Amino acid sequence: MRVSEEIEAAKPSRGFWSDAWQRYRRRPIGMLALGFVLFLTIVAIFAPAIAGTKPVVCSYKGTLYFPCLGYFNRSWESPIFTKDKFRGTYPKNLKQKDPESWAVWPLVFQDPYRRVRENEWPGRRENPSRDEGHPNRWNLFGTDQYGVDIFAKMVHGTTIALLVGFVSMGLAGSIGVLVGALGGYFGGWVDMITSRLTEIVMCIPTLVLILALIAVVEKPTIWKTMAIIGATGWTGIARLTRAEFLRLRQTEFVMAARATGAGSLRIMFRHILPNALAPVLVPITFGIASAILVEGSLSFLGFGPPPPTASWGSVLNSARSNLQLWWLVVFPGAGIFLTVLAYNLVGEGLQEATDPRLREAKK
Amino acid sequence: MAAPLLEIKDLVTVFHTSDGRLPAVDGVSLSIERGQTLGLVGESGCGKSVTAMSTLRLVSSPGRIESGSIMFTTEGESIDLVTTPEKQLRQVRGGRIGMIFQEPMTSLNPVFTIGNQIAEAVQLHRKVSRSEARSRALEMLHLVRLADPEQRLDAYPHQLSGGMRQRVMIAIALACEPDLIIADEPTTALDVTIQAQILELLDDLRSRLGTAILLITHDLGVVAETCDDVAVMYAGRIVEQASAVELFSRPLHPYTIGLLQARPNVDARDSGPLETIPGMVPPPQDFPSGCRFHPRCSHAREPQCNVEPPSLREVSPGHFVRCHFAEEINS
Amino acid sequence: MITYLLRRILLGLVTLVVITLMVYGLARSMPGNPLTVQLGESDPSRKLNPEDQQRMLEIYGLDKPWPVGYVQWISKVIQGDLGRSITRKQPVTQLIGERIGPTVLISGTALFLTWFLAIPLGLYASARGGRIDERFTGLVLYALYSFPTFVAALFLQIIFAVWLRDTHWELPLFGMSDLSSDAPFFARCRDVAWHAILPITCQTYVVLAYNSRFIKANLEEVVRQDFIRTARAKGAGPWRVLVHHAFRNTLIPLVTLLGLSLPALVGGSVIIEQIFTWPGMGRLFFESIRERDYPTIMGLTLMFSVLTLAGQLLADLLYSIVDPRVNVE
Repeated sequence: MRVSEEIEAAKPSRGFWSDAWQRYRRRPIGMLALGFVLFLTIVAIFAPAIAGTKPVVCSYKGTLYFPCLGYFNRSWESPIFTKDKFRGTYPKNLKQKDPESWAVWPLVFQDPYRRVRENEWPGRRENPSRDEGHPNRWNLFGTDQYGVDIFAKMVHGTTIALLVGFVSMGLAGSIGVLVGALGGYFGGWVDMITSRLTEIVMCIPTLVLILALIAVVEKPTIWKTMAIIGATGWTGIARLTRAEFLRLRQTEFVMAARATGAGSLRIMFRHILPNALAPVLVPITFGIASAILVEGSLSFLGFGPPPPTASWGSVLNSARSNLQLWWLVVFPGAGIFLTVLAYNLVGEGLQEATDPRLREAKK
Repeated sequence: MAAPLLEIKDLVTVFHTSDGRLPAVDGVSLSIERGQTLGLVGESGCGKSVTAMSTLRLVSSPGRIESGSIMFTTEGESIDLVTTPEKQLRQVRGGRIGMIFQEPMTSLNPVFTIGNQIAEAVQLHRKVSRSEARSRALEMLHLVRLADPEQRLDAYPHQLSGGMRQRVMIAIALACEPDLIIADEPTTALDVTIQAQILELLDDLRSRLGTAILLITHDLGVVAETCDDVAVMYAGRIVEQASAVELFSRPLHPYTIGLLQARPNVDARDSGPLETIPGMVPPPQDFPSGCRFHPRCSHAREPQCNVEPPSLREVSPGHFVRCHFAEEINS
Repeated sequence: MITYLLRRILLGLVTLVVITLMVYGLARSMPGNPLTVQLGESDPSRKLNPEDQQRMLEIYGLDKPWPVGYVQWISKVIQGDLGRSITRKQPVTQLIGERIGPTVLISGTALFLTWFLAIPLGLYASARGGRIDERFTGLVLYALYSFPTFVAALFLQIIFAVWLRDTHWELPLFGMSDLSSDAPFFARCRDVAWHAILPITCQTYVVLAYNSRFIKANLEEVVRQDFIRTARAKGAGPWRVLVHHAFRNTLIPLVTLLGLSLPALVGGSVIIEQIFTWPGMGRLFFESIRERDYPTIMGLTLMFSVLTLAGQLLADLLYSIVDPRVNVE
């Protein structure tokens, strides 16, 4: 009984995280960055309702549909619209085929994947293209050389950027924590193997490894790209987790847990991991920033997910051969920059709020 | 009468933190005569270390000396260490006043040899060549009785034990033959046997070199062995000050009495249970009103003690106490 | 010491074998081969007929399964032969020799500038920690650190090559030189330097921002330690405390960083060289992967890995020099 009480006491109490939050809240820049990340998340989730050419909600022939979900996944758009030959243009077709119909439209009627044509929306001219595509009333961030709206691409690209960050770092975090935990906890030959493995992956230049892997997976999709970024980005996390586990397995509370007869897995993940979480969370946050950067560079080099996926990096890629269209650089560039900056700032805030050494110094 | 070597008057050092303005040292006055040892005693957190740091203006942000004066008189010249320009102050630091810290393990720079670190202290204050500084360093190691000084000169701190490192710290502090050494808990981090050796060394050096010592400690035993005068500090203020003999034979402040009773006494005839003072030193943000000791004092009386802050009174020649009822308690 | 070095080198060799094996397997698993990718993409009509292709594959030893190919490759490497590039028809060593100069010109200059600027910046930042001017530079450096190179490169290209075209400030968009090889030597040097400005800027700023923040963070940690107080109590001035006592201690993490930047010095940056079409190693790597030029991929991988391992070893050795507490044995 006493021993288990000690174990409970040694775990970071809820007080640790609420303390960390208190400290984090004191940093205005960190809060600003966190606010920006939340804003991006909202944009990412509601992207089809912010910019799109498909109604958010519409009533067609007496039934309610949510065609905008088709932006997330083709199959979520009701097949009835394909059957009725809408061909992606809703405003006219809805009225023609069902005069009774009504629809709630996205805030901005623009499409991330195609050029909006003349009179597609009543009274709207065709999207300009090439040199005429300056930012204007209808195209807030301009259009690319084919007349596709950049604002819509940016909004839908937010979803991809955030997904890339979370999915690839989720994967990298899992691999890194697992490898690091095994090496740090068991030591000996297990540590020898995991450390070697980490070192070897670190030795291969990341971009080269990623490029080779992308070439190997036959049909690249955004999900495969995320998986590859995750599969190559875990080394730093593994090293840190290993160090934390090495340190923590010597502590009294782990000894106490072992004395109560807890199994290795239980000790590793119930007792040590919660204590190692704060220092491991910091490189994961920084990792999200770097994953977004890597995806950007891949798309930029033309190795990203294939079109029509609207990622910020692919807009930048199209700018490479059209340098006079400055808006193709400024908006996606700013998007990537601000997102990466925000994640880095959140990571730094987290580091300062949870690092015991920095905390002592502030006393 | 000549001015004392060091005279601290109404020193106030505050820390500006998110909890507000915290006066860690709140109106402390002390004076040390040439060649004497003054013990500054108190529990941890009472402000004694901050007093020591303030003396050489080593308190780092967010701490700041707010008011008071620290007159340092040497070779017939007096300067106020609180207001003197940084450049002149640096002449005093390590030159006229040496300092020894509590943690010998971390107080030496790990990447330089100890010879280097002693020689640096010499070179900062005297125009000497490298080799002269080095031979002075060697001389100092002999003086502090470090074993094998010739070899140790080129040793790095991590190659020495805690006691040896503290000897090196003393050598650094004494390298320029200062008039005063401030020793901030010099023996706390050491083993008991080593403690005695270090104290003996300090005392011996004082009598040979005539250096005054401000000894900061929480250990009354240390004070009894080495000090001429004693000041007891509580919650940022001096509560009692007297000669060591007087203080140990006739303590007046309830806090001092409590401290003395809390000491294990080896040759005590009545081996009754050790007395303790209930509670802890309040942190600066929770200083009580009136007498700051009253919540822990068994003699406290309302309404005086919790409303009216007592002043430091001279109850007998040279014996000062900050208590409304000092005479009553002791009669 | 010798045994330590020997052990490290032996361990390094094992690591090298594993790395090259992995990369070789990966490279050979990429769809297509040098012949199909190169010819098929440029002109479908010139696609080799199956018999010719088979004959060519046999010539290059690509008809056998990849483990056999790896053994052939590594036994040649042991004899000091990195093989011939399939798509470029020249020895890999010669190819690397041609590309290494341009890369070192960019990354060497960038590395020098980085450290030359980062150390004073870091010292300045911790000396003036918390004041308005330091906070401002800190924020700018932080922003630069988060600024993606490829975005910066595009911005610089737009500004200096498009907007400032035909002005005094125009800088070349890409390439290394516009002059023919018979132009006078100094004119060519000037021309190359002119072309190198933008790539060097791009490669410098991120690392500069990172390093100066790294130095500052380390200095701030050292400055809080007890021995800094001892130095101040000795009477050392603020400058001496910072440079002599504190900075000397931050050298310990700095040499690690320096050791780790060794591979980048020779490896170059794929992205920067690609954007500015700079004929360096990074671009060679990128192209050789695209062309499935196995010998070149392997030659470059080997070089990178050797440099990475050497950099780590160098860092550890330097570490024991700057930190007396560390003993390599």
